[in-house]
Amino acid sequence: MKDSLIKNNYLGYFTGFSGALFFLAFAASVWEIIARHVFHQPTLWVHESVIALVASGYLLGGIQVFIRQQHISIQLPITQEPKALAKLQLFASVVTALFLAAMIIASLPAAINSWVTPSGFWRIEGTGSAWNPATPAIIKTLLCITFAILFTVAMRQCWQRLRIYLTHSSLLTGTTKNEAILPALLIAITLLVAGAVFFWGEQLGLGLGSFLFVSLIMLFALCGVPLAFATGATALLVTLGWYDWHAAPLLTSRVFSFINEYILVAVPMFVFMASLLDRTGLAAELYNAMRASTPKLAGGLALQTLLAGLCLAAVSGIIGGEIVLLGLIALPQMLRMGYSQSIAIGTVCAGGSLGTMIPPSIVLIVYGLTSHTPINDLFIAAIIPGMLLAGAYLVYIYCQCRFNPKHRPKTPAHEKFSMSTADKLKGFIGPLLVMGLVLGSIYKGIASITEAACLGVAAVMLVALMRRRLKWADIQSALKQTLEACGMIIWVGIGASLLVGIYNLIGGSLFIQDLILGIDAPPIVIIITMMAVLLVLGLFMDWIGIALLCMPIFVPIVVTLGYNPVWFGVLFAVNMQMSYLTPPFGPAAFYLKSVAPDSISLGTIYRSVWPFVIIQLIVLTLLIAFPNLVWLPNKG
Amino acid sequence: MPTKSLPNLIILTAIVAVGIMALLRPTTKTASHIEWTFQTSAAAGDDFFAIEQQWADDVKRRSNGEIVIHLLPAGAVVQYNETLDAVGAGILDGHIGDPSYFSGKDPAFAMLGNLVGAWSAPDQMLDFIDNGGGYELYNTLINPYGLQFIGASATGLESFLSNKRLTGVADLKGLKLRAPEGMVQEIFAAAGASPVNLPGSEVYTALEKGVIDAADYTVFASNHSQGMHRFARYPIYPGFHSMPMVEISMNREIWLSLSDKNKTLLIQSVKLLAINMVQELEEKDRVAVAQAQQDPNIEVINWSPEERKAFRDIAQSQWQNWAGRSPMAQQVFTTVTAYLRANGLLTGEAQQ
Repeated sequence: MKDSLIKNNYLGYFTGFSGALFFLAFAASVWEIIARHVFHQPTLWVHESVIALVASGYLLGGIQVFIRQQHISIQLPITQEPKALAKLQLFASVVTALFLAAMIIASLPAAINSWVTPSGFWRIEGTGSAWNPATPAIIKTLLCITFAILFTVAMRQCWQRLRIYLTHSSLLTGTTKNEAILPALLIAITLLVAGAVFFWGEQLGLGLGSFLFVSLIMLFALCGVPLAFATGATALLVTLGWYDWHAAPLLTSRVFSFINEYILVAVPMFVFMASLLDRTGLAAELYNAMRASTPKLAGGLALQTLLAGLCLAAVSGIIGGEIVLLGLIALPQMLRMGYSQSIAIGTVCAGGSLGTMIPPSIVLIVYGLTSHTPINDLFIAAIIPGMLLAGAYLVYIYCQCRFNPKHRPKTPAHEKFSMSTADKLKGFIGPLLVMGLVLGSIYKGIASITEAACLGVAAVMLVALMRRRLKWADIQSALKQTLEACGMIIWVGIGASLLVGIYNLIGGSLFIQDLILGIDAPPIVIIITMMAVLLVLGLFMDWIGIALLCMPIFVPIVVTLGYNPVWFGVLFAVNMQMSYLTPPFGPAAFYLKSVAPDSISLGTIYRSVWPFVIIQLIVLTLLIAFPNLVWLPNKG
Repeated sequence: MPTKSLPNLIILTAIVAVGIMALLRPTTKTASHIEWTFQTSAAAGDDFFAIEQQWADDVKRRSNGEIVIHLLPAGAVVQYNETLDAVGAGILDGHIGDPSYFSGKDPAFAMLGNLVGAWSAPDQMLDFIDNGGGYELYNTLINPYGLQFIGASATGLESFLSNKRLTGVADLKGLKLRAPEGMVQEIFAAAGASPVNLPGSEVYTALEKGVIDAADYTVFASNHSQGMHRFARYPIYPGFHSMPMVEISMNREIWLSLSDKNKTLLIQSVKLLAINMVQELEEKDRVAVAQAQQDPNIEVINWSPEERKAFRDIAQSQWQNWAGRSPMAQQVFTTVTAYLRANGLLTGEAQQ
């Protein structure tokens, strides 16, 4: 366990308070559904309150995770030598602290402007709705405070690491030099690249510039800077290199908009729901019952988990939520029953990311909105490719478990795992009730997709209460987990979002447009190049950023080439599913990491998912080679 | 000087190299032409975007390549409701969008952006901007934020999406509908409906599944091409509820540095943009409406003049409420009502 940077009892109060924000958001959402259906009086205050509560939760979660030193970072064994390691860590701390200090300055104008008008009068900035709460002013101020606290923590971390470094340098003198040279080189190259971006900026040109940012993110990450701050620091350097301090508020604006994104509200609710299912023991019971009732099929449970992922995808389409749900419920159970790590992790990530394809996929909706394609056509067109993918995963998992004994549980064939029918029923009924409620409320039009996640939380509490399993301590620890998972995931997202904004501003979209239009080749080559561009971008950005950056350029070209934009939308969805899984920026891996046991590293996750990435690549190739696999509703 | 170990030497060299880079920092060369980045509130696939892109091309042509405007879609650099600050700070050079998005900063934005119940055709609103004091008024509002208003355009009357057959104001009672920030929400509430807050990306599924009955979303042609009418089978066209202004503004410092010739050029080009946008969208709507009318599943409803007037009366009764919320809002109220009264457009309770 890593050391916490402040005293544990203070941290406890802080955690309790921040976690409570998510609980309030959940309670308010449930109240909204009741008010709308029982009293026929939708409230005006819930929507905006929930967004504000959750946004504050993300910010505080980021602090909590930083204090506990759990931000997602890439840990490669660069060196074993203590002094060199201490030096590298000190460097990473200093980079983080400098970035955070700059962010305090960048967030000050927005915070001040939200309280005072340009003419100098007091006017608290509201949301401009009928209710018009002061939440933007509060969040913008909180943003500034958050960066200030993070900076303080970072300074403390610097101080601690400096002391460690000094102790080592006074103790050890004669160490093997080779061990120490690599970190020093790493620091030197990072400094050089950072210097080039910062001082030469615009003169680098976009081609070289793009290459340098990508390298810079990687270099920072290798030095041990948490990913969120590595991307953020790169975005900051680009902003200052191309423009100057007057452009820095752009970064704050991106953070503010990102945490206020309504689509993301479902994520904490899914974490909360899954964590409760896990802690109340309902998940373990479900898996025991599933195991007892499965016919003897190799990898039966893994296959069932994948099918569960498919059902979840058909319900919500919110990928992060699905992976977290499966990661919390299915992963520990599959590991407990003896599945190999790679199969268990792969199944969870692949199953959870099916949400990009299966309607109502939020990826397809966003594609439809940005490209003006009928959303319903996209949904229908994506069904066959989605099933193809799911089928391929099933076959792969089955074959692995069937032919490679190390992947499947080591229960001897004759030993039967049995349970009484009543126990089985008990195990199934609770989770099924929860799922039925979530599914039903969406399809019956009782709740919007995001609200349905809150209903799910309520249902788990209800079931646990009926089974006399609901304990206050469980709710508290589930809230803590929600806070920390969101702190990790959302902050990585914040980093990526910063980069998208500044890249668009310096003309990244024009650069990509020239790149594509410069190709003088048959149409199919252009399509393949586009896929390659998406894949490369997918390594570093989240899909919303990619959709915003590329679709405005790609879709008109695709139409001019005579292809159907609906078909391209399906390709995009498959591609984004890959981007969910590929390192270094595979959000699916981050989602899983945020809830997985500490023993599972990011590296393990990436190593486990690559066979699934290859399956996706094959399906993508198939879809390009045989466009008829995508059934286009308007054609026939 | 004690001997440095090799690792420290490497790092030291890098620091020195960075220092040299800083010294060799190239001076920014002055460009032969002006390049601006504008962000619009339209998504890249929207018809608006294409029309606005034509405007950017038009400016380049008119200025003989001296002014190049890069147009970016909504959310590319900052979120649609953050562009005011971004343009003011000089991050973006200009923006195109609906002023209502900034209602949280000053209620006057809502009143100028989408004064529900004031205009029954885009021409009326554009005339108010040009000849009724709207231009000066909007500049008074945004100049302190560091922006200069170049001119306005309009999307025309938006269509209203509905799952239920609504023939008049009375049918709005108890209706669950989605409305964005600004005045629209409050006026629907005053008409007895229950506004629900939903982001644009959830409108499709929410309407399809019946979480909401109706939505204020966008123009008819866009709704139709996104397939909204498959389940929202009773669109009301032309809409009765919303006719947003589309403002084109830019950073004031840059504006002040422009030659008079270029200022005039920009103002003229925006006037042309307004004409193009209104015409093209009307044309697109006409085609889409004709298509929808062929479809037996869709019933395009048109409200009678009496019902439209009834809704406008409700809307106008709310104006006074808004006027009291800030000094600028009061000024907007006074100017608009004076204009409407002079042109005989004022109905209902706002008339005193």
